[in-house]
Amino acid sequence: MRRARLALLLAATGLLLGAAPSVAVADRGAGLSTREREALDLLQAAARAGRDLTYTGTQQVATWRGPQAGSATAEVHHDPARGSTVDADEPLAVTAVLDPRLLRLLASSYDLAVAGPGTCTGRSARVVEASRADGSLAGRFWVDHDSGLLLRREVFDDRGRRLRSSAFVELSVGAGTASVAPAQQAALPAETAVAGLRADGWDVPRTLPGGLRLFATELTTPRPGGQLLHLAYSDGLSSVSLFEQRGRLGSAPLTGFRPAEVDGRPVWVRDAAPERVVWDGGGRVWTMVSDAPPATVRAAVAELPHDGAGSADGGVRTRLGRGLGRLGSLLNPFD
Amino acid sequence: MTCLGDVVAALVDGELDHAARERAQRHLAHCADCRAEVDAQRRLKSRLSGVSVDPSPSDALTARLLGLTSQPPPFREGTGADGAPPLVARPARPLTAAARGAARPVTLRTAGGPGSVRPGSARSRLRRRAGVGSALVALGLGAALALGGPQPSRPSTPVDPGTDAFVVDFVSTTGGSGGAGSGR
Repeated sequence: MRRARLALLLAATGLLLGAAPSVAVADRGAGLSTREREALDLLQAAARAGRDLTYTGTQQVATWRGPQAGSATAEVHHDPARGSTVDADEPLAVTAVLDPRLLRLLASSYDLAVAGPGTCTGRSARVVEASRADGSLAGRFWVDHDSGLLLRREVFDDRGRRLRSSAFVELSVGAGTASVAPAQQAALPAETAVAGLRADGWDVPRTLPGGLRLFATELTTPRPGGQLLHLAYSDGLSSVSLFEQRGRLGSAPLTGFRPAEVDGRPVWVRDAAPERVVWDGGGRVWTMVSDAPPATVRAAVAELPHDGAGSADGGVRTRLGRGLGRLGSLLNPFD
Repeated sequence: MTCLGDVVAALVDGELDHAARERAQRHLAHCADCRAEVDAQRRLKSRLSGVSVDPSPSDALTARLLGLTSQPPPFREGTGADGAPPLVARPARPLTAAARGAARPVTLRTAGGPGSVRPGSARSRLRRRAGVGSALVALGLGAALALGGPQPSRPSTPVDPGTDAFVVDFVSTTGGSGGAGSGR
């Protein structure tokens, strides 16, 4: 596989996406217990360290999707002035970079607690655990005791199976100290921005199944006359990017994708993590890119517009209503 | 019945507007019963969409329908209660002696009084009207479904979905959630 150098200036993405006026995330906020506040403070300090420190290291990233497993290695260099550079075969997330918006979603979706001490790549760490309402473990974070950097992260499904793991296997931290200023105010896209997109005909769900909440929107024009809407959802541990393009899929198979069905409707799936699902519906082509559990991805795809078998272009009711309208128009001599 | 009630079906059918869908999903995030109900209805819908329905009647129904043609239609002569012209029946069964002796069509009378018809005949007329009504409704719905299909002239704009650039955008945006790796 061709080894591509992927430079991801992750620190800047928060400015690129959701640049529209925004409102604060509505979470449990002041309702956090002392135990949860301590854990959230630790992760927010890790976010500042990941943004403000200079460090170089090697990360091992692994994913599990049922019987399939994959792993990758990435060379990571972060400079507070230039952002993060990731040298890897595929686009990889950087463990040490924590988006404050996702931390707020994490705190509102899961119960956080400092579980105790741990070690990672020979460094002493404090471990933070994120649990679901039923008490099952959803995520675990290792925060470096000395630098405050996030060293390792693991995500589990609701049956306790590991979904993803990313960890530094080598790390060198440069000089400098992390700021103590509060993290960037976490924000969700403003209702006016979402309403504007909807008024232009875009479908913008605020939430997706699995507790995923919209936290960023970006409308671009990658080619003349062809707009692309990117909607980003997360619960703080798993994320979904939903891309909308006006148009329809052609009849030719998508290269690298396999045909599949979700809720009886045809889709194209690319299994390699992050999973990609492509389909058309409602006059648009939808692409979902996600590291969420497969069941969550299927449920999210099922709730969005579909064309094709079983859907009757929006459902029987929609088709019936449209047909009655056209029938009335045909029978109305004044129409 | 779950907390969401009929909203579950509307959610599964994709009939909810944005606000209602979000309210339902927020509820689902915390209600295992409703979540299970949504999952069950989704599975049922998925199964139904794969079922091939044979529209031909069963053998038993066919035999019963054929049997009806060998039976005489309701013997309805004279003027009905609604003043409709009399229908002269030609029964296939042998007429009774009384009927054979009648020189003209018989106006049937019952205990209901002059001009009334047998209750069985009224029920038959109601059934017939209901049948005609049902057929008209079915015809209308069928026409609506046929007309309600996608516009044949809908443009088919070529797009470039699912590209690697989307994965880069995903990682750039959700980099904080971590764990995106190659699935080799």
